[in-house]
Amino acid sequence: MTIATALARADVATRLPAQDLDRARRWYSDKLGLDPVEERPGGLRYRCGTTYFVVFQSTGRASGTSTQMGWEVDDIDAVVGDLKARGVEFDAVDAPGMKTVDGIADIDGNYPSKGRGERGAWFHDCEGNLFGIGQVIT
Amino acid sequence: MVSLKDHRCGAGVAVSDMRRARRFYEGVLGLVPGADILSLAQPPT
Repeated sequence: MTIATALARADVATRLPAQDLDRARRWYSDKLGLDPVEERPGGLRYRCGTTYFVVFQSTGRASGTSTQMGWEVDDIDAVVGDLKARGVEFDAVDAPGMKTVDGIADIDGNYPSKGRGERGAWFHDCEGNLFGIGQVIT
Repeated sequence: MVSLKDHRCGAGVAVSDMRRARRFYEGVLGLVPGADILSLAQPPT
């Protein structure tokens, strides 16, 4: 098996830096309703659907200016509403062809297999990581 | 309540030069864009 084949077949899990892992753990639990499925010194592993991501103790910090991870949801209005009720603050985006209204933007275009458009919303965690929530428009 | 733990998540990697990135991902890593991807609500930045 070539390295390229091995990478293409491998599972991918996002790694997110946290300067304070205990603070991050509380934030993910309180704000996102997510608790780690397992942990090790310096790392917390979360499961979402059939996918995983990891929050790890780091001296580094993400720039927070580009989306590092996203969730694909069926009802973005319900998800954003629930997260707001938990205290998550959504970013305001005002760019050509993309403007958030009540935290959600309508976006023209999508990957061909996904549909014709998308609705999106963005927020930062307590460690400065930027996340997106997307709902496909077919 | 709608829980994020029931929804798939995926990483997004920002690039400043899409053509250069594509050459690296395809030419060096051997990875090509596919249909089994998540729609990640990518902002313009």
